[in-house]
Amino acid sequence: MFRYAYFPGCSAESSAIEYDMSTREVCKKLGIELVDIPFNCCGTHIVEEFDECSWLALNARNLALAEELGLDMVTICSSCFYNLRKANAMIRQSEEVRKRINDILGKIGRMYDGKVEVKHILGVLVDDYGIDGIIRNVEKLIEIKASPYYGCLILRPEEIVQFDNPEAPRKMEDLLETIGCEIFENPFKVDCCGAPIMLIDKKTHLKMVKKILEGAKGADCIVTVCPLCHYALDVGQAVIGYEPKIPVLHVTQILGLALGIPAEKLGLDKNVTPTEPLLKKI
Amino acid sequence: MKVNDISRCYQCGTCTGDCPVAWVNSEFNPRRIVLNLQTNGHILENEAVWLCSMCFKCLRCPRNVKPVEIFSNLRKLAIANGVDNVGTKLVKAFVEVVKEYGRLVETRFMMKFMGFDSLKLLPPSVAFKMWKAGKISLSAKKTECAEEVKKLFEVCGHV
Repeated sequence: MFRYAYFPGCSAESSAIEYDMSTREVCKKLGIELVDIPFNCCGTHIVEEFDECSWLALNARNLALAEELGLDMVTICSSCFYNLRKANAMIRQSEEVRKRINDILGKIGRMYDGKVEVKHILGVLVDDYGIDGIIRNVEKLIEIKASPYYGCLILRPEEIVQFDNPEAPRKMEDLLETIGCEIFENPFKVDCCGAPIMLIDKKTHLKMVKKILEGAKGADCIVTVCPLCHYALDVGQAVIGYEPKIPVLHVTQILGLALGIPAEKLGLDKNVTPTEPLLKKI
Repeated sequence: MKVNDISRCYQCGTCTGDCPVAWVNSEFNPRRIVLNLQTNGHILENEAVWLCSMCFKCLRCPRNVKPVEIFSNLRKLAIANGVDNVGTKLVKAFVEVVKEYGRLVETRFMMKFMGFDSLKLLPPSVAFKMWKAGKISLSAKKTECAEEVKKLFEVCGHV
């Protein structure tokens, strides 16, 4: 019943390998079918600023792959989510853009009609599959203090991503409470980790990371929904030698634990900040 | 190229109060950058615009000036005019890797952008742990999408 074209994004093959692993495990357990597609990079704002035509074409090709299968698309990356949705809206809203982009796609033997809906894995879990469905599959309550961290592009710009209340989102809290967590509020949960500028100004980026980590001080773990946020907080705290260390879990890793999936299948040994102290608590 | 109407800005500073980059780095001040633009016009070599992390918090602008879009447009101008700085170098490396592999191969991108300096980004113990976990891969294979992606760039005029 639940079947999606799966768009893991480029980082799922390397720096966020455990996000991809845990997503596949969780979906398998819940009966959500992920269909792999020969996707390409979404380009991010970097390619968009380099050349809008190329950026739009990259995203249109990805959308065309899902449309060929007659499926909606799910991504695990907030940046891919924003880029795919933005391009999709541009193609859907303007006949002229649609014609122009199909002239380009025609050169590689593809076309896109605007039928695909782009979703984020958190939305698929909470909205499509539903909290009730998840409750039925919980095997173990994760009774810890979890601190949700949303970051930016899953929430803003609201008119493009249309995901949750951008000032006071609830989707992650709902999911985490369902699996037994106590919510630890981070006042900076919708602020930026600075990942996009980490190579431009490392010092500034790491100060942004530190601020978010301090906001979560006292929680047992931080939970993220984007591979870039995860990298920033998980690897970032190791780079600055932040203490006390705070484990950073992808949302699918913590959900996977509640569904009774073994930690190594969720890649919890691959997180840079050790997750063992957290695993001992549950 | 569309640049937002900066004359609407009345310097309230909401953007700067909301900006998570400005909170930790006083050199990046969106309100002041917009003021400079109002006074001096567009300066292509404005390196500050590369510090914007595109987080869209400044969309709360009561005058709908949207500094995030202004900075993005200024970066587009810098790229289009061949300005040479750290930001345009990053863009060039990123685009070259995507064009060649169809996807962003992280290690290739880092090497292209920073050369061997990229080895200094992570403490050796962190880099080793990530390599062992399969999170830093030194090999790069072209994915099945690479040919189509190359063609799309070509059709858009980027051979």
